[in-house]
Amino acid sequence: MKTAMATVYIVLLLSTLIWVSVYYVFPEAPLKPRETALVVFLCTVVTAATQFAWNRLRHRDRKDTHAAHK
Amino acid sequence: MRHTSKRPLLRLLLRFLSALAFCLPCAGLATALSNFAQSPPNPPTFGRAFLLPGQAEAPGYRAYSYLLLASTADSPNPATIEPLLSAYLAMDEIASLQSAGADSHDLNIVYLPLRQAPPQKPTSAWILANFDYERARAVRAAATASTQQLPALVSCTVPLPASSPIDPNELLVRNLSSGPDALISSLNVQLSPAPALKTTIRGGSRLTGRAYLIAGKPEASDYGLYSYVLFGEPVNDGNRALYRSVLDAFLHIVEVRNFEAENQPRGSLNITYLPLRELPPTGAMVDWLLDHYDFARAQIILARLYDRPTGPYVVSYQSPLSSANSIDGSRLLVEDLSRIPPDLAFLWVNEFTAQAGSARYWDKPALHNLMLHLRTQIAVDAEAFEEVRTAYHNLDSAFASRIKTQE
Repeated sequence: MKTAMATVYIVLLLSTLIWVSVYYVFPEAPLKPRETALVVFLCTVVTAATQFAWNRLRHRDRKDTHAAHK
Repeated sequence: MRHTSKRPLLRLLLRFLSALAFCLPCAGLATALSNFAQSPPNPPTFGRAFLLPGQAEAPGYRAYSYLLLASTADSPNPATIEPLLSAYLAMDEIASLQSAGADSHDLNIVYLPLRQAPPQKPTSAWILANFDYERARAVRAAATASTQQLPALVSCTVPLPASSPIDPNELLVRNLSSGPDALISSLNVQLSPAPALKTTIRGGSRLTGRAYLIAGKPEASDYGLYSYVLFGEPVNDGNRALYRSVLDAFLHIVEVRNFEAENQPRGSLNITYLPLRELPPTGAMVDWLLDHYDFARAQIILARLYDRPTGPYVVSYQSPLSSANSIDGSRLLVEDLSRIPPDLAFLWVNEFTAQAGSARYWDKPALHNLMLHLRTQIAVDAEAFEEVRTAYHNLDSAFASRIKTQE
């Protein structure tokens, strides 16, 4: 649950940042709904993948530490 | 994670998916970055020559640079000047470059004013003892660089002092007190304005106006910048929408004759040409312009720039491209609109007018350029994503109907 909430926060933060940056530089061409949806999707994929990889690494480290103690 | 460790196939699949999840979004960003990181232009060639009293500068060079060591005989600092002079003497002589086949129109001649003709191999001490301070002061005054500390390099497209006012876009004054590296780097970025003049240049930035380039006729002379809207390929179903959008954006640019009617000097205007086979009637619209576009002339101009051009392109250069003997790639502004969605054509044309208006029109601001490519890439990806979604939906429907038929 904690991880899911963190994912949501990061996705919101990243996509808002991209949306606002584009709007700031090109106010005449802000991201359309379809493009916004794509940005949110890509942010979700990147965030989830990063978290997955991070968890895998941490899990492996713990296993190694545990094995070393034994 | 325990279930994955027990199922190697599932673990492999998850690894593959996570790799894919990294690669796909990064591909878009990588494309934007690759568009952004263009290869640097070739440095311009330059050669040295001494300028003697009563001697006029040779005509026909692309740029004229003057190495000014000091304004009075008392002021030179040998510790700063000597490395500069060594770097200067290490340059190729302009005569040797020309005898090697270099065209004078491509060369920047770097003058050092002297009071008398130098010996066969002049030393730094000899040059310093015979430096023409009077001429150096005259050049410095002509370049309005009196506040600039010497030693300095003054570069201009015309010999100095010039008889007519100098376009600040074509002038560079660079302080060389930091050493010989500054001299070489200054020669590589010559004709960029001095930092002190930036405010003035921005205040009087170049205005972009549109005009038509009729078949068989040359470009008008004396404009500050020449731009062209060039379509590399004839109209087809694939590019019609994009061409129409670009022409629509072109029609939103003010006509150049309106600026001239307001007594704007041609040197401060960027004339943006649209090649046409015949003069358009009053109120000609996008379709008329597209039907009468002069693809032959566009392809002739593009052939000098690209091997296999597609376009559309918006190209800017400091002289008419149709009649230019040689084109200096480092002074060329190219907006490649071939891979942009039609909806964003106006954005790129707006960017072009803003960029062409700046003094260093060839030098795109890096961050802004990155944002433009990112914006375009998001639009392209969204369009592609929609295509994929539609294709998937169609495939789904086709499977469903087939299953129903079999039942």
